[in-house]
Amino acid sequence: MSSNLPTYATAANSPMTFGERRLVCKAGAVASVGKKTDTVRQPSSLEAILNRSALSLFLFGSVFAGILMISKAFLLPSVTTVEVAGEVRDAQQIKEYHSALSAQILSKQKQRDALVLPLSGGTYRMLTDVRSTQMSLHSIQSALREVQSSFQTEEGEHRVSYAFLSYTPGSKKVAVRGAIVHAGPQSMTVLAQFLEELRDHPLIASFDNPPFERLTDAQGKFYSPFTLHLVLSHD
Amino acid sequence: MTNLQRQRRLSRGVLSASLAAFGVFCFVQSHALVHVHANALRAVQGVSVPLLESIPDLERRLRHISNQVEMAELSAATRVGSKEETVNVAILPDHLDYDRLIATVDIFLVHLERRGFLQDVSALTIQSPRQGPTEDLAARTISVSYTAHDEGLKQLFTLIHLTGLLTVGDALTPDERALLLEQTEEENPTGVVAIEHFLSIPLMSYVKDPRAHEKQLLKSFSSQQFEQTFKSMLQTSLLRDARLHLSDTIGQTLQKSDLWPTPFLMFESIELTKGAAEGWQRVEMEVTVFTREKLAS
Repeated sequence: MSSNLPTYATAANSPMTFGERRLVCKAGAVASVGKKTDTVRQPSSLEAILNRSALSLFLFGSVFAGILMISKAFLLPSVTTVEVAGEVRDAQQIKEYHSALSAQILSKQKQRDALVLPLSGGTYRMLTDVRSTQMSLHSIQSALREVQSSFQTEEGEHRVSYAFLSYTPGSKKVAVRGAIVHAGPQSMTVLAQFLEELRDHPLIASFDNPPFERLTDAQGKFYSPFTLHLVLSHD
Repeated sequence: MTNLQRQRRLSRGVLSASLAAFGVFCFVQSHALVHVHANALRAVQGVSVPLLESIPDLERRLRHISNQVEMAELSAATRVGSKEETVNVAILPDHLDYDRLIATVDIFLVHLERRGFLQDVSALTIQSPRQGPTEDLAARTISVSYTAHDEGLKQLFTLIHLTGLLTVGDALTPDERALLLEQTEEENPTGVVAIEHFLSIPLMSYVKDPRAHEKQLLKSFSSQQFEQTFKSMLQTSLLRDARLHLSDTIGQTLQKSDLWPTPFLMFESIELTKGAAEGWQRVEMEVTVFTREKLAS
């Protein structure tokens, strides 16, 4: 029986604190009043909410927006601007000033370099500067030998043999012809390892893999020939 | 409900709706203003603060470089002698001086032959002129083949890189020159005059007495850092090769024969075929020589 009773009735009979009991009673009262109101003025509930909340919404919104506008007009500029080179600047203006300074430095540096170095800006300077960026043949040979030295037999013979090298400094290209020798039937595997090592070398930017093949020479020994077209990474 | 009551209710409703609408509008505006605040504060943290840290350094650098420009301008005004004339006569002449060109290449080859680094040198062939890298430049290819030891090949490559260099500054790469000048900004902005003087020294004069010229420059800079940078640059740049090769008999021969400064040569291509002995190879070399000529198109 008691389980079918409304909550407030059950709660009113149960032991509880004074505050809880008052809340429950109020809830009951509101529930009963609400029932009456619903039956009498059902269509005007939205209007009532609007009437009651409009003023609060207006007051809160306008005060909040007003404070933010005042902050934007007076507080924000004082917090986000700094005096740089005698002028008060915001972040964007500071960025522009920084770029202008960097550009001025570059321009003055060019002017200074042209004054310090005789014959700047002419054909002669262009030619000397182009030639100074050419990688030396010695550096290329050293790089190839460095990789070659990683592939030796136990007797100290080189497994990588270079037969021909062609270097065109202007195009930064090197053609290398050679073969993998003293590697027995593993010559193709050694060729793959050699190419991997070559690819990792800092002086070499790129090259295409040659065809992998294993041939036998007149003495019946295995070898894998290769022709590589290397592109140098040197600037 | 009477008419009056209805009208009152209506006007009250309109007023409430207007207030609510304005309240919502204010909220939307507030939302935008909060964004403006957040962006402004974020910009201060992300842009202004890091830039403000570097601006005093940039301003100081600009002041120093401006001073250096003024000093360099004064110094350039008092510079004696025309290097341009030397370039136009000896390095990039109007017309190719075959005598000087053949004599220069021959000195290089004979010098290396005598040292045992070169043998079986073929005849030199010089091709007809073609358009160079700029309109006012003509280029000719010189071809030669020989058998060379690795060391001979390395030396010949260096000697060709030293051709046509007039001053110390010409033997430095743009990066090396920039590094030296950057150091002057840090250490002693007025030292730019000493740097200018050092870079203008004729290469052959420097090679004859490098220490004296280097000491002269270092007098203007007291810091260890500058000295270290300078010395390291002397060891890694073409100046090291110039000291090594031009102070030798080859430099003296070139000067005695009045061939310095030599015509400007640049490697075009080189082909090496493995020779019979270890470290030796057959070399097919092509070098370009430039002249200031406008070719008829």
